[in-house]
Amino acid sequence: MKYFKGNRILVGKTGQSIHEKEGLIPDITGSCIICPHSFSFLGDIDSNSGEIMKSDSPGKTLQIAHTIFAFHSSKGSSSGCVILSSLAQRNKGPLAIITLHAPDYNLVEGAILGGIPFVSEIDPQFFQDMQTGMVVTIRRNKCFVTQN
Amino acid sequence: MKLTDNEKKMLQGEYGSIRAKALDYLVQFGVAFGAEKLVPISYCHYPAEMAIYDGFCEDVEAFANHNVQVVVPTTSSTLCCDMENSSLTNCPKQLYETQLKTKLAFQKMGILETFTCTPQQIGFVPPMGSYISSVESSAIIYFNSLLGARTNRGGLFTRYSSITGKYPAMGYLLDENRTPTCFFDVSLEARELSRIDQWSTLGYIIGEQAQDQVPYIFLSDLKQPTMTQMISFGAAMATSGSVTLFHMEGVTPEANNYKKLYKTTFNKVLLSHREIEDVQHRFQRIYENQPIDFVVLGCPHANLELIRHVSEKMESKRIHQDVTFWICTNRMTKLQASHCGYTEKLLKSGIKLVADTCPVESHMRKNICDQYNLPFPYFSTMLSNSLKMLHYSRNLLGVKTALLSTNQCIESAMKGKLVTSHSQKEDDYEVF
Repeated sequence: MKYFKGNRILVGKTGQSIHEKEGLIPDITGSCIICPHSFSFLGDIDSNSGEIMKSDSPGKTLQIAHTIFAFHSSKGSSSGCVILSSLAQRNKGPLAIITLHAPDYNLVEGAILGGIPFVSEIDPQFFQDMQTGMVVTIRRNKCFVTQN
Repeated sequence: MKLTDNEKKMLQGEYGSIRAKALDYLVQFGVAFGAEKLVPISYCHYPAEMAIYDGFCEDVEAFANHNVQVVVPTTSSTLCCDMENSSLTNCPKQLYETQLKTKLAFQKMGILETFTCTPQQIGFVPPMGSYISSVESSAIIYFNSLLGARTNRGGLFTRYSSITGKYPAMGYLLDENRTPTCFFDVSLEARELSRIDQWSTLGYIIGEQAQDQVPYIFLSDLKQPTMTQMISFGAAMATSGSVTLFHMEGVTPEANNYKKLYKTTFNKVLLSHREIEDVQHRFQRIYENQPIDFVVLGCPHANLELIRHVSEKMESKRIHQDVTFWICTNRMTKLQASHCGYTEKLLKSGIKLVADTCPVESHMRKNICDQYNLPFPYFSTMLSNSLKMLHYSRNLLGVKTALLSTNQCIESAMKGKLVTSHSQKEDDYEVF
């Protein structure tokens, strides 16, 4: 089993602690989408369906709903926060987000309000070894991701 | 996190349960990022709360019904239509009525009805070094870089800052995070970097390469840029990347602190014509003499000078009957334009001066077209002088795009087809 260490995990919703504390989240297992570049929640995704529509993305026609969505960093409009929390409200959001870079405050706000765990600064090897469709688990109380 | 006595009182509910909850969010947000304290903010630019996103107008309505008001000057971002004349953009009536809930909620909360992405153009110019909380990526980068005010890339938590007057001391609020982390040496002659579309292109390239870093930019042949040029430049950088702060030698107020660092850095990215042309080609999906149906200026929102320029160019002329032409701006500038007679001149020429919104935030998005049985794409082509507008419109509005100078946009609108034959010599010295 491979495992990849992240630097930080943020989790929570509506007033719960958003910093990792003992036993806050159960293990999260899901099929992952690997987007090996930066990603904008405005313009790169259908805000209604959660379908990736960035024309030059290798993830074209993929759906982020109920997946573990991994990308290098977020970019673009500050509406990204609104779109992410809006997707989560309609049960079209990802199970969790993993990023290579330090978290973008804007997107973290959307993840918190949407109750989407956010693992940042993941081991760069994650993007070398993992491919879209592989199943990964974010381990409880630990900021690391394993390949099942 | 160390809290002041007053912050503790707020957290315990002495200023009401809504403020207590809002502060709790901010405290936990700060703790998650290792912030040691909260700092007072002097200004907020509040999220748009647009009708094109399900439930947001109802949320802000519910928030306002708690009778809680903002505690710092708070401006508001763009909405989905011109709120004084929604038919100007053919916004569906029901969508306008939903959006109206936001306007009324903002009135209740004391949020100023500016509905713009460029509050800095209408007098909201926070002092250097001041802490603020802002949404809108183009305004954020301008506040940080050109004004030296301090904000992170704000989102929905800006709501909480506006009613508590607080934000965690973290990210770009701290000196140590304002140091440049990548360096650009730009070899373009001043005449190649005078128009809005040229600045927009350079910003897009730097944003793509810098991503979430802090770029330091040196231009070997720099002519002092205008505010409009810097707004376009920053907006593009925050589109192709998530740049929140940049330094430009001779232009931005904090650049001097890092001059030495730039000189002693070997790892500089060199940019010239080649990179500029490459980006322009990537957005070129409409070619010479092909018909066009939509032209947009004012991304980010246009100032009075750009409106004056277009109205003067259109004196006694009309755009082609098959073309829709919007100049997007804020309401205050629209009022000024009307006062100066520009709005009337533009109207006679067939150009609409649209306030409070822009195409990307309007009913032209696919999900809204589907919901209201509107054709999609609403327009098939888009010409603009802004790469930010074209970048988002490609996917969200489904249009074919081309980046042109302001004067080429005007010329093409009159002919109903893409024309780039506008006198290049004249354009060389155009600032639009």
